[in-house]
Amino acid sequence: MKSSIILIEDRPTRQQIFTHDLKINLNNFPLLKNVCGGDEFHLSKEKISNEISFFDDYNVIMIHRSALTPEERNSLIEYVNNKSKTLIFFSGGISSTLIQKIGKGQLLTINSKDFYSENLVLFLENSGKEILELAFGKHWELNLLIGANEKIAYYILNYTKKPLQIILDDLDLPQWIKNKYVNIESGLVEKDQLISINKSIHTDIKKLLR
Amino acid sequence: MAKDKYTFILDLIESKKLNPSQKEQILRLSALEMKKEGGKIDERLNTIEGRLNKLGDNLKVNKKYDRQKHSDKSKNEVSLDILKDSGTTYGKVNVQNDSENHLILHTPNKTVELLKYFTSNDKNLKYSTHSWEYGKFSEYDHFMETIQKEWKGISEDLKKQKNRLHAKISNFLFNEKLGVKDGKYYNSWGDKKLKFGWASPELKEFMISGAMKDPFNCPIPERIKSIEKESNLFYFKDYVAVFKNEIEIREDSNALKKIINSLWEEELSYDFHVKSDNVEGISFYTDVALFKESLKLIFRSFKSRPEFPNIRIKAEKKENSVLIRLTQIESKCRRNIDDPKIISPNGGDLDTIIKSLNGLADFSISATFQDNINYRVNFLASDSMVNHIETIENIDGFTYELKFYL
Repeated sequence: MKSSIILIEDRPTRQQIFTHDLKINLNNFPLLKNVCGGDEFHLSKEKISNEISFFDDYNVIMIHRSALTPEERNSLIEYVNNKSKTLIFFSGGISSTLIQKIGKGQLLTINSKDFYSENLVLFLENSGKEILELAFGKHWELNLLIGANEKIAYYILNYTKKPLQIILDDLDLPQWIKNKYVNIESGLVEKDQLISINKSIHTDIKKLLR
Repeated sequence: MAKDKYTFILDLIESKKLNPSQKEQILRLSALEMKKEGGKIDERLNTIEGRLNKLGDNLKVNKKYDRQKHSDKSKNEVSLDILKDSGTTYGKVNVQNDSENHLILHTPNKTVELLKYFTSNDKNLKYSTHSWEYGKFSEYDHFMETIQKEWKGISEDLKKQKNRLHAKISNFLFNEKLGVKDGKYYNSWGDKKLKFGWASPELKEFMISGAMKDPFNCPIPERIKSIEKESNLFYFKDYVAVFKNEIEIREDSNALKKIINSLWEEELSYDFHVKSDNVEGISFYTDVALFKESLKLIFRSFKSRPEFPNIRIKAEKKENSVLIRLTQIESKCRRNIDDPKIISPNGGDLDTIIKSLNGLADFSISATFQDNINYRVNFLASDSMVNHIETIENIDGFTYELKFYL
């Protein structure tokens, strides 16, 4: 089976601790090409600048953010933007999990402790199809709905009319939540419209909890 | 430039084997060489220009040296090359100019190189913002000595590049009196005036209180928490996160978009419509506070013309730079191109932006001016071949252009 996901890590110790704790071996996942330290790490990193088409075989590229220069990060972002791929930057310095649409592709930024977790195993076991599983775990739908419900409830407290674009950026809602629940025209949004969105989300949370 | 090099250039210019564009390229490279050596640029370029004219190559010689204040100011004349938007020269005009030429050549890429010490794998300063790999440093004192040594090597250079940025970093790393009053004010670092850093005594105590301590997990002492305006800083890692976001626009926090949105709300109000393109996934090193202050002034200038409520902000990623263009759609410049407030701003908002971005980003404005010609006025440039003023083809409205290096 050809690998469709590549993981590029320059700190082998971190990965070893993680795999030891979870009693798994990342090299046993056929869909994952695990590049962990050593010469292979440097060779793969060099491909970013010298031969970006090296990554054409992979749908998902996971790489330690701090191992890259700004030029390399920029180059990878441009690449996934044009090639409709998923890029994952993990680092100890990233404070929250964020998925952003970048042109035709998407970028997930995640703290390395959240990245090296059971969610990574789950993601790989399910063929690496659902990035939300890696970012937010098995119950990602419920997790994200509860998060959105809480955010909107808090946002409404001191709300004054704002353009939809600002609201969506402030709330940082995942794309699927925007698509499913935010069916309002662009322009200034009334408080009642936000209350209505939150009611729909609340209803679905209750359904998921049954 | 050594005499033999100079003769060599003249020989190349006269060679029939080179086409006009190759000769123009030689001229550009020669100007750079001469600038490095600080020789008699005017005289030598004039000689080369004379040879080219004789050869009838119709090459337009750009008197770049005008812009470096080598110009003969008594002439009060700026040589303008008419450029297509691509930068291709297709003509020349002269504009009378009573003011001093205001294009500043600077080196923002050098600032970036210095800030990269906080991310390069081969630098110890990296570990002031990144977790320590196992066995990387034996103890706190060892780490501080190591970064102090490395800092010494770049400190003066960074101070010359951007004094305020230097002060911020220096205080974060080495100020032992953060949170202690110095006269009226607390010692602090950065835009948020934070009062805890690497040299804070509590961090040192935390580190020597046991083996294998992680500095980033040091709890913030009550004496600091009680005087901070920020309420969500509980561990040293929270301060480090703020620091990282003060020296870099980071894609992982969608910082560029957040800054744009906050300024839209705070400075413009929602009578304006701001459309941002391609601002996600953008990261570059800079002094984020100065960048934000510059954008604030740009937004204020947009606000002063409410008859043009549509603003477009577009980020373009290049190989080694990010160009941010902020356009007030359909607005034109009400001044003449030779107005001193345009070509040599002194004391106004434009001047403040130039001072803020000096050493951080190339900076230009583009607009249709009173004579209905589209000009780009370059104020800060890292390329010595850039003209102070150039004419351009298409433009959608008054545009500010900020180019950051990667």
